[in-house]
Amino acid sequence: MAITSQLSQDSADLTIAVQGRFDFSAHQDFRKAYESVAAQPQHYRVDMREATYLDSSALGMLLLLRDYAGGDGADIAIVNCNDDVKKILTISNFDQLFSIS
Amino acid sequence: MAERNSVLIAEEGASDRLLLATLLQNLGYGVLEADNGADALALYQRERPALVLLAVLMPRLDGLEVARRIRELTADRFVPILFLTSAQDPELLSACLEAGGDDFLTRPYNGILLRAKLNALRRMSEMNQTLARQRDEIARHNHHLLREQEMAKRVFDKVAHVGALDLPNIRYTLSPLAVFNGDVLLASAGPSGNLIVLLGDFTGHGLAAAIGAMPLAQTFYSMVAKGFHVRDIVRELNVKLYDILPVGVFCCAAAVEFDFSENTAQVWNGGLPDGLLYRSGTGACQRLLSRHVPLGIKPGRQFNDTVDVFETEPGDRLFLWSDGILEAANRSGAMFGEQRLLDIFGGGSAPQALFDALNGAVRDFLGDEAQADDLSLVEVCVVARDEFAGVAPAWQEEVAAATAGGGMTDAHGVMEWRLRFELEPDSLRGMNPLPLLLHILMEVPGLRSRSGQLYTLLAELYSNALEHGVLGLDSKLKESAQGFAQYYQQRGQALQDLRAGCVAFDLAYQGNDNGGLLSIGVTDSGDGFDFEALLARPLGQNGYSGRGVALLRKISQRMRFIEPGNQVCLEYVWGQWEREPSR
Amino acid sequence: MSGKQHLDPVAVAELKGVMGSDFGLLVQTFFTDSVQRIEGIRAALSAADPEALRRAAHSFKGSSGNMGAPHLAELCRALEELGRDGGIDGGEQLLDELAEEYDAVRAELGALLL
Repeated sequence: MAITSQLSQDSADLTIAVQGRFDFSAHQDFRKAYESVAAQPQHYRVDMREATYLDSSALGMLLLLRDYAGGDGADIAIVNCNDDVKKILTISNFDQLFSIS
Repeated sequence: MAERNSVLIAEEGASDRLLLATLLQNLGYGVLEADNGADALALYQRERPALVLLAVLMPRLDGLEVARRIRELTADRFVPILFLTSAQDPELLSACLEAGGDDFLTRPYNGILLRAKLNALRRMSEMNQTLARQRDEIARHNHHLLREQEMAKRVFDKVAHVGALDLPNIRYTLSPLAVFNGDVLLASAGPSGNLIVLLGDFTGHGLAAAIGAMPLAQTFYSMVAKGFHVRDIVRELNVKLYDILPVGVFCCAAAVEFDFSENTAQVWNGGLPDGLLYRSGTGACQRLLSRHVPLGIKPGRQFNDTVDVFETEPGDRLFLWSDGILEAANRSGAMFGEQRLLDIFGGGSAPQALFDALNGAVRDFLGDEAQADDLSLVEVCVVARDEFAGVAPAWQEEVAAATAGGGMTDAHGVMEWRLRFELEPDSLRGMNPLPLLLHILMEVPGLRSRSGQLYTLLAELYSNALEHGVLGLDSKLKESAQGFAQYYQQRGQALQDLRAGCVAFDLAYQGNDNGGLLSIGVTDSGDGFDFEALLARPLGQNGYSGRGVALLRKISQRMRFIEPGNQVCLEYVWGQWEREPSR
Repeated sequence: MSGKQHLDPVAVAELKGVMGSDFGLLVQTFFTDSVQRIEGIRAALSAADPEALRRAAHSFKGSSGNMGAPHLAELCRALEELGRDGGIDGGEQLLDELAEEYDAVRAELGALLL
């Protein structure tokens, strides 16, 4: 499990990439990834290209990010999901809260 | 008793002993001396020095044996043992270490080296003590947590045990530690004879999960008993959890309401794996899709309470499970998965054997009985209304009594009150008045055990007043096969479009400890109908919204319509009550 | 025999430093101890008991080393080895040498107390 993040030049976009298992052990690092950014990005991307697995605590972490980023007004896209990850997000109908691809 | 600065010197030679003693006293230690092993051991037990210097060869008990015994006696403390020897033989030196020695002191004894060694040993000793202290603290905390969890479990059991999980048409597997895995299974029958089942899976474990489970259970049971239906219940549960749970904690849940007289099952699924409705007639399965976001995530105004409605037949079986089943992993790390689950349904088992087949398959897959109990699975069998009514009422009344408020329990003499409750289009659209009215009636002790009948009366009267009187719907539609969905669709549309209309309840009660009389009148703003023709029909015929006039007349007395037919009154008597002469 | 150092001055100086005013006590204790030890060696040889010889010689070796008497300690070591190898031949000879060395050491130590 490893979390890396990248802020765009104009500080408007923050991309957080998750590698490996996205579970409870990622909690602190994931939070730090968006809380430690000085600017307030307008768009967030969570890149799941190298994520292998997602559990309910990961769903909770996504909700925390959404809350931090403004709740209903937040613009968060969860991208590059493999089939397993997509399935988990779909069962909880998280596509009603996030843009998922 | 343990001297922090005392040393035991066990050495046969007097001059050596004297030299060592002096060296140690110069370093600030108190000294205890023995010239043989047996005395050394006895002295150790009595004085519990902080450090021991042992010669290898001693009369009565040799140094190695003394070291072994000291180690046995002092399992929980670190007491450094130094062997006094000039031997070079590796075997002897190893033997000393294995017997419990920590280091050696060789002759000639050197004060500087001795002090350095003792300091090193003291550092180790202190580290050891710190570890022991921390370990004890952790053990205490652990103990405390376990106590807290036990208490939470007791509280939860008290709340959750007011339930219908023991009904004969329900089977379930639930981990004994379910509440701490975040799994909750609730079942309850309402006053109209409906059955509502909820399976919930909270994120997290332990107390965090248990905390959400308690308000969930209390709200659920309270609302079902008052006659609320599944859509209102999940809406309220969502609001409660949204308020209580921190962001990121939520409850995946599926709630199903069974109506055994209308033969429907209404399903709301937010985040649980798709459930299955198994058709006893064809053996086919329908999926109970998860359409919603789990409970506790969306605020009230965004909550979607839409349910999927299924028509059912006695013998159909409805299954719900939490993702614990799908994710159960065997020793090689493979997960049980959804396909294996579906295979069991397609596997030709007899319907009544499916539940056991599911459990068996998981157990076989895991190859480990203990783990196989750690999942949540429930099966509800659809039964005929009479079969269900036969079992539920007695228990139902207990629940009604248990959940009713204090009210007028101490009333003496005659109690008398009147109430008029009017609903305009917005209220007709947005609220179900029955639970509220029933709640008020439950304040009367004598009526508490009759909640089922009272609810039936109120519900029947209300639905007729609303659907036929105000909305103008034709109940004939409900009698046909496809009719149901269409009827409810029409009803929903008509209600949405309603601009004018009203239903009014007039309740009046007189009673004492031994009996009473409740008058119920319902008036709607519609045009009325030909009630005389209806009343002229022989009893037992359908035509008046399902169960019909026959039922109303069975339960109540003096039922009558008033011209032009948009007003109906009846009386309900309990116990012994002398009626006043009719006015 | 003369010209050999019976006491190691550095070691003795250290002992004095450690013991301070109790140096005399240490020396006296050593004298008492040593007499017993020599007796023990003599008895072991008479009894032709190599194990007893080994143990007695080992102890005396230790205390002589502590007192800074290297040759005395060396002779004890030789006797210890003899006992360990299971024999006693030549033990009497070594014992005589030992006794003589001890006398010299005792004299020198005694002189330090004056």
